[in-house]
Order: sequence, then structure tokens, then C-alpha cells
Amino acid sequence: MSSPLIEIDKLRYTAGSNPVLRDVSLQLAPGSTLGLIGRTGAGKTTLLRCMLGLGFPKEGTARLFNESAVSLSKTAKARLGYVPQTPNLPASYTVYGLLQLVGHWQPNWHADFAHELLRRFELPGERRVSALSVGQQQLLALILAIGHKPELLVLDEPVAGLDPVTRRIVVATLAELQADCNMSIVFSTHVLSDLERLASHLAVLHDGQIELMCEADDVRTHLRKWQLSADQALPERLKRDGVLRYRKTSGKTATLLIDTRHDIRREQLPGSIDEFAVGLEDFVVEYLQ
Amino acid sequence: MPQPVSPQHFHLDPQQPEPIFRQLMAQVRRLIAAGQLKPGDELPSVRAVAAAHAINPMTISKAYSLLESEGVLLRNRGAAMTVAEAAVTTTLGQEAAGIDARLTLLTPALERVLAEATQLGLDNTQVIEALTRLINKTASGKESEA
Repeated sequence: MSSPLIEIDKLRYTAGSNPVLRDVSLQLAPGSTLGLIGRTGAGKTTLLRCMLGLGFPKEGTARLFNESAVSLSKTAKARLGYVPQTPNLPASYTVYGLLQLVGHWQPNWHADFAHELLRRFELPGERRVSALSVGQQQLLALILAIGHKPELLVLDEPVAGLDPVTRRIVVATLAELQADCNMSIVFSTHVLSDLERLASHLAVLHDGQIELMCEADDVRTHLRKWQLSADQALPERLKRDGVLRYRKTSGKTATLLIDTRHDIRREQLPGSIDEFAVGLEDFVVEYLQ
Repeated sequence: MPQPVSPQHFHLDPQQPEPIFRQLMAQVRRLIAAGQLKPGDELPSVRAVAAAHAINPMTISKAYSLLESEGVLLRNRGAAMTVAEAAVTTTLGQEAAGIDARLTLLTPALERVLAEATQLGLDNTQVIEALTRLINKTASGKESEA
């Protein structure tokens, strides 16, 4: 196997005395796309920032392109693109002006491509950043992050504010970059946003820990949802191999997320079971509840 | 070489529980079986399908590669993938080579039945009995129609 693009090992991060990340480890191979799923406050942004060397963990290491994230070389930085949750763009620049500025210091800038993206995203080039809507600013920040066709693009809840049509154009553009430059993407999300279409891997971050990381195809192939109806009160918690989630929906009913690669049998559970296939949407919803 | 099928020809739905690469594989096989794709015909590029459907190109590539290993598609250096000469026999099953090939097409469905039977706690004999009953029922239904 080629060396991983991202290598995070036993990362711990605290804000004051509050643990934000507890012992997070993950690896991602070049060309892969990871969807980081978690609720608000799960630690997604902190993890992405540590991954990029913008956050300093208390313990553990984050490596990118085989370099330590906290001391990335100029060359490594030029292979990266990042769109933070709320892009902070200089308000007085026009869209064209900002593209020109970034084109000057970004060594691999593709000016033609950036202008093609302006057209595609229907951004007014003459307008000042301060006069753009929030969604337009997000799109501009995205162009600035991909105009040099990076090998790794990191998006922190990026497209949630866009309308469905624009979202689809953005996701299709990213798919093209995946095809053309083998670009990897790491994105965080707490809503379904179409970006899931691009994910080869999914990771669920809960309370500062990776609860599950798997291939996106595994979700559809191996996971099932069980609706359990019992004739007695169900326990509050249920820990068993192969039971990924257990959520009581009332005193005697519960929803379970099952990994069928484990040998879990219906008769081990009290009550009758209806089984359903699991799509990505079910998966995300089940994990976010 | 002709490219009779555009990327939009495929219907790929990420919300379906069936993995996208399997959806695509099944649709290519069906297009071949229906004669819409013939030996030598070009498939749309991975990039074109990925962009048209906003899907990870690795997923499309995985479907094409699996179809290649099944002998349905041919990889051509620096050019589009094409439908293999043997694809029709592989996917549809001509009289001679047919039964094995057609059974191969049925295998995923049978695997699903077995997997669900296992989850239901049914043993092999019970599954075979159920299948036999179903076959007999279908057969007698046809007889009474005739």
C-alpha cells in the first residue's frame, strides 16, 4: 500500500479543561474521500484543524503527505485546499481582484480553471466580497481552495447553505477533480448535503471519538436496520457484537443498526423484528439521533 | 467507434440501498442484454459518468473494473472501454454457453435470499423447500392459465 495521505494517531485535544478530541486515530489513502459525520460539538472542526496543522493537539500526531501537520513545508501547503466553516474573505476586494491576488502567491494556480468556475457558479466578478451573499462567499472560498487543483481538499460543513441546484453543480465539479487529479476530499457534515455522493469512506465522530469508520459501500452492503417490538420493557442500553446502534423509540420498541458481518441472530433479542435495508441517509440519521 | 450510450442513460441513485457500483453494473448488463450496447460499442468515460451524476469516480471505476474482470467490458489503453465480443454470451447466455452464464446473473439475487434466510434463522433445507414450493406454485399457475 502506498503511504497514507493522512495519518492521525491518538490525537487528544482539550479546550481549557474540556476534552474535545479523545484518542482519535485514522488513516486515509490518496484518492479516498472521507465524510466526517457528527453532531454540532462532536469535535469535527477541531479534528479538521488539527489535521491541517491549525490546531495544536495536547497529545498524539497528525501527518499529511508524510509530514507533521504542525510544520508543513511550503510544497505540502501548495498541495492543500481548505474551506473553513465561515470563510473570512477580505471584504473590500472584488471577486476578480481576489482571484488575481491568490493567483499571485499560489504557485500552481490555474487561472483559466478559476474563471471557468466563476462562470459555472454564476458569481459576479466585478462585485465586492462585502456585497456577496453568504452562499456566494462560500462558493468563492471554494474556488480559492480548488483553483490550484489540490491533492487534498478539506471542507468544513461547506455546502449546507447552498440551494440544491448549486449544490449539485459543486458536487459534480468536485467529482471531476477527483477524476482528473485523483483529488482526495475530507469533509465534515451534520446534515445530508449531496456531498455523501462523493464519499468513499465515512467516519462517525461522537463526543470527541471516532465511533465508526467504514467504506461507504459497506453501509449499503452489510448494514441493516432492525425495528424491534417487544412484549416487555426493553433495556436502556444494549451492547453486543454487530449492534452498531441501539435506540429506544418507546418503552417496548427500539431501532437497531446491525452489521450483518457479525453473527447476530434475531432470537437473541426479545420480541419481533422487521428488517430494512440501510441507505446512506438512514445511516447518517441513525447516527445523529 | 460508436458511443450509443450517454452518461445520462444510467440511473444512479445514492439513496438506494443497493451500492452504486452494483446499480451501474446491473444497468450495463441489461443494456447489453437488451441489445442497446453491442460488442465494440464504447462506454462513456468514468469522468463523464462521475460528473453527470455527481458521484465519486472511484465508484464508477470499480463497476467498470468488475465488469472487465467478468469479461463483459474490455479496457483499451488510452481509449474508452468497449463492450467485449463475448459480453453477450457472458451476460445473456446463448444456447450453448448459456446456463452457467445465466446462473451467474442470478447469483446476486440468490445470495441475498441466503443472507436473509440466515438472518431469519432458517436452515438450508427450509430454504430449498420454500423455493421448491414457489417453483411448483408458479408452474401450476402457468398450467391453469394454459
